[in-house]
Amino acid sequence: MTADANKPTDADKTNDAQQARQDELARVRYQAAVGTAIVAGTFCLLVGITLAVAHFQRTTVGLDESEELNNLRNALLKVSDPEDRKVIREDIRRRDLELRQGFFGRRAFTKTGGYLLLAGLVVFIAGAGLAAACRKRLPTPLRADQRKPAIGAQAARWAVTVIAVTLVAGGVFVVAYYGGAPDGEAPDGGQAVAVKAPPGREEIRKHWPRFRGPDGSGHSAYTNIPTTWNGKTGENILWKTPVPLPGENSPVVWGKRVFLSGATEQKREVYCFSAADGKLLWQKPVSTPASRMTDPPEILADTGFACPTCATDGRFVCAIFANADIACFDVDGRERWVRNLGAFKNSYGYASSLNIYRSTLLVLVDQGTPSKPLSYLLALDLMTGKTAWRTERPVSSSWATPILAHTAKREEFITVGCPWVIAYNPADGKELWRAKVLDGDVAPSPVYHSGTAFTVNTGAQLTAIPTGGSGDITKTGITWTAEDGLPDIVSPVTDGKVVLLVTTDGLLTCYAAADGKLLWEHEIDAIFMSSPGLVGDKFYLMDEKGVMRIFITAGGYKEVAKAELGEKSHSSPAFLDGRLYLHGKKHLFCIGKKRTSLTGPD
Amino acid sequence: MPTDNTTNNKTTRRNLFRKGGLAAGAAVVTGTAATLAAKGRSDGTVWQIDPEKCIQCGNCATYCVLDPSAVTCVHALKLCGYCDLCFAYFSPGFEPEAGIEAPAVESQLCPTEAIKRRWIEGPHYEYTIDEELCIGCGKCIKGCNNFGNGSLFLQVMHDRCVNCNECSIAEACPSDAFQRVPANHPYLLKGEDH
Amino acid sequence: MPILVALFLMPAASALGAERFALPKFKSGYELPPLEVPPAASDALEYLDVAALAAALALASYLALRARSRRALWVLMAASLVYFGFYRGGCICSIGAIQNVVLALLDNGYAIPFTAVAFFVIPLAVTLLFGRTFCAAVCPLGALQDIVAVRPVRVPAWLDHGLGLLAYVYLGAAVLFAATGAAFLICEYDPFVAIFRLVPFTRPNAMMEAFGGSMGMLILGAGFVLVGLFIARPYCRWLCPYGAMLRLLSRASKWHVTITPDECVHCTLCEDSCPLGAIQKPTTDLPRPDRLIDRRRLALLLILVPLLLAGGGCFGRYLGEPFSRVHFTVQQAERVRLEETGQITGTDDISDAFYKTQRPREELYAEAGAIRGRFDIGGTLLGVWVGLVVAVKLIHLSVYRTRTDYEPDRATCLSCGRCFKYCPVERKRLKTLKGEPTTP
Repeated sequence: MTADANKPTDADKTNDAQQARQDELARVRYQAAVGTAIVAGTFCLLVGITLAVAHFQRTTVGLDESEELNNLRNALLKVSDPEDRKVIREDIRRRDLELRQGFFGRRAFTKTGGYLLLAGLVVFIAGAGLAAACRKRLPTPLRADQRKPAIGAQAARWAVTVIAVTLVAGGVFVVAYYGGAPDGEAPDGGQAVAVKAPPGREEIRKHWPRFRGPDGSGHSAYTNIPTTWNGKTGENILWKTPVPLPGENSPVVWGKRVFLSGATEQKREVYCFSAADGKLLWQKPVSTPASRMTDPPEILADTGFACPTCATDGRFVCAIFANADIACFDVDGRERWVRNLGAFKNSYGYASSLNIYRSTLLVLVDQGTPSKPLSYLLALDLMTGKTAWRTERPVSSSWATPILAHTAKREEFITVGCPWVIAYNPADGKELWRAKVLDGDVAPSPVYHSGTAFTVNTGAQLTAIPTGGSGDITKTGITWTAEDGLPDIVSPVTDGKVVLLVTTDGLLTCYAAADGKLLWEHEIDAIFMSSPGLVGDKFYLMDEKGVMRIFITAGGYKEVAKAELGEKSHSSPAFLDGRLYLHGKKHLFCIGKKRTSLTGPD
Repeated sequence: MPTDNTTNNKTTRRNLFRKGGLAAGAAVVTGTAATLAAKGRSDGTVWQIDPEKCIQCGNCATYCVLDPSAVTCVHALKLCGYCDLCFAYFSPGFEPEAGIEAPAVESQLCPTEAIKRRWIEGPHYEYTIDEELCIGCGKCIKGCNNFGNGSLFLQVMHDRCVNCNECSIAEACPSDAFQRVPANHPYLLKGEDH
Repeated sequence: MPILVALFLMPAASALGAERFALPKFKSGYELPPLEVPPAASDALEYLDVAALAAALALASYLALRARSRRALWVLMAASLVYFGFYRGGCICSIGAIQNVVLALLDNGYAIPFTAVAFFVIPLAVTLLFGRTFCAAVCPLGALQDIVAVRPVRVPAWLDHGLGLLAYVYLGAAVLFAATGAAFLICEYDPFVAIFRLVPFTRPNAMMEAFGGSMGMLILGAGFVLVGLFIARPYCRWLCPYGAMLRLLSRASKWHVTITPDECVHCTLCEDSCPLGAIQKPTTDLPRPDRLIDRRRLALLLILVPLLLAGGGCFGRYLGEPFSRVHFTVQQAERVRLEETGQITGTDDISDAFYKTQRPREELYAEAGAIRGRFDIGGTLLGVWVGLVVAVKLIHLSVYRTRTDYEPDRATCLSCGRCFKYCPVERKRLKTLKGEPTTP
């Protein structure tokens, strides 16, 4: 052992020479070890510095980050001459090869350097360890009377205290530096409170939550709706606000907010206006990866990209567009979810409006042809946008909006399509009854009044179907049918006594609701796109030019008033307390007497 | 306390403490072992990427402790459209050019030319991944997801992965796409479940 | 309302189905090749690991307690370093297995590998029987530090006591982060795994790009190695969370290494032999401190215990919130929240990943809130734990113990065997000492 070399022994003086030789040997060994350690240490230092310099002098990090190469590629894209292309192509290939060689060369360099560094370290540790072993100090014990008392415990207690205080200080630093929500707002606090429960039926009746009102039949819950206004003179126009993007959808209103959507081929937006003054409260784009990557759908210009009307329940507002993007926002404009349903195979463009039923959003996707129907009824969870249920439908493309009927014993979600009228349970999508009474491109929506649903389409018939049935009731369950004055776009309206049909070219046909007896016909020289509404006993019917005719049916057509919006419109009116909202081609109008105040909760 | 014969007492007390500690320690260790055993002996887990969560950030190529990374691209051919103009194969803006048999670096997206293209029939080409060349950068996958069927995706290759206790790519993953999966079902493949 | 002026149907849209481009119907007889992925590596090596661990532990205990051979222990230690460290990449190790065990105990969905259980339990059991022989010759992290400890200086006992607390704090923190599913701190900040894996050298790419990752770990490792040249085993003594558990168990171990094979002769030769300062001197030749002061101090400390626990708990609760930001979901929720409230414009990878899932934000916020709740509890418990550790340490330092011989501190002694050859009694046993051992 090397330590033994220095150890005093009881050897004789004659061993001195041998001792000296041993000492000499130990010295040489020590020097050799120290020398090795120094050389290896220096070597490590040099390799380390070289590696660090190479590391910081590098110009590219990955394989594929050369600005130069990108520029060359872009240049190649712009050039069409084959000879020039060839030159640039060769240039790219050469440069790319250089870059790759450089990259892999640098990697090999680093790898070699790393192993050299490691080997150097091993030698250094070995040398230094050997040197240290040569110079190992022997213990020099003290006698008992030379020893000092240990100061251990007291100092250790202080050290523990200091460490504990340091830990607390570290903790304070962590809390101060990393603690506290960004800008003092807790991510889980504030606005992200629990979502309110869905509104009840009575509450819904106070608002205008969807296309054609709470029951989807155009019935107003209020009778104090103005009958005179003029968009040109401003008479009874409370406010009018421009709508940024075009759309054929009708306004929906909940409390102090009015919602619309608008879209072009490229952009889709949802708007919220203040009911008080028409101010645009928020405007949110809707975009999904699918919509960004696919071509816009081919549609009819008159349908537009934002034909379906939004739906709201006072908590959320949902909108769907022709490119199958569907979005849900809370009423303050925070996007809740957005998804794309996959391109619609629906000529003219998607037009069916949305419905909110409790906590689901019901979407009718009728597409495909009679020989190959691809239609389905979809329920999306309002909170997440995830599919709650989906029911396949045996019908081809249609453009009508289903209605939710509260019949005597249950709720029925009545859909029209070609050729079936089908009522579903809105809770789970199970079919309740169906009737084969339609044909062609179905666009007029059904209406419902006290136990009877009325469906109509041109080329088919007007049919009165009592609700509450089950199975196929085509042969057994139909009250009456009629075939005159069938509309192709405009939905019918009923007050329970009469059913009124309006064709696009202005033929009004009135039937008795009970037995289908034709009561009267009336022709108006105008084009009608907008569906009529019913306020008390007054019918509100607007033509394409924005002229609203207000009339009653007492043995015939009796016009009560006529009001002009001064702007073209295809949308259907929304009736609220003392107010009427209309969506013109360019503006959103609020019509009402100046003194009427807003009612209803926010 | 400390008189002459207390030393023995103290020793006894210390021994008593020690025995108590030993019993307690043995109880804790066997208790833990028993609890873990009662949870059912498992074959353990391995790391895998959920293709649905992956956003192709590129960390897989650079954060793995292996070189090249244990993550490579996988191609589910049954989801592939066999397109002529493949957005996973060609650099943006480039199209299959007439007169060039093998498109090379100027028009290819893959930095290591790991995607092989083979003509099948008509306008249809088969694309396969050379796993030896693939570095798991995910560039091609972005192209395929954005414009194609999304038939390409990243997976941890278990003949390469050393199954670190805490995967260093998982630590760096910005989309939480790395997850532990049962070792007997070590892959999350697209197009295989349905 | 749509206008249906012309009743015509658009040409049928492109192919139907989930994909944008349908799988072509091949006419040339092309067969779709199946999707092939390499099978998982055989787990035979894992069983070998467990067998090697058990064998190494048995051998280490034998060499330390029976054979009393430092040299043989060194060889075993080097072999462990090569096998568990460089060959198996330092993963999975007993230290990291703490986290797997904690996660398995708290998360029923986590399937703990058999090897993790074995690596966690076996060294604990062996320590309970023979003391920390695991640290002496089996743990690759310890072995690396032991080998580089070229010229260890003596660290004053008081500093050793103070810094020794950190290991318990680290243990608590590692358990907290593993239990909440936030991170495996021990693995993430293992200073030696980068060296074992030779990551920056075999993986120059990683060295270049991931400065905060493996390169940072390498610098940390190099720092520990450099410090380790002069201070023996800094990680083992002051940071290792598994070592903290072993300290407790080793105190109660059934058998333990002794400095002398027989009766201590109080020669004082071994006094400075331990680089870890784990040799305790006899108290017999020193005056007994004032017992009245000692008792008062002890009483004061005992009163202080509940205060320390309560204070730690209260303080720890505040730490729950910043700590929760280590969790991915909390980070994601905060980022999404900032974007939603318009405090940040634009998205980043983390928020993009969330939007891709199309989940509602509230769900994410609720999830993050639940995790934060767990961190509030966990932070409180961590604070209580640290308070308890400090209190126990202070009390431990304030209880006077009589020792008649030189003996190893069972908690800090690693059974490395360095002191054996300093003992004249041992030398006599080995017959390398002429004459009789004496007391100065």
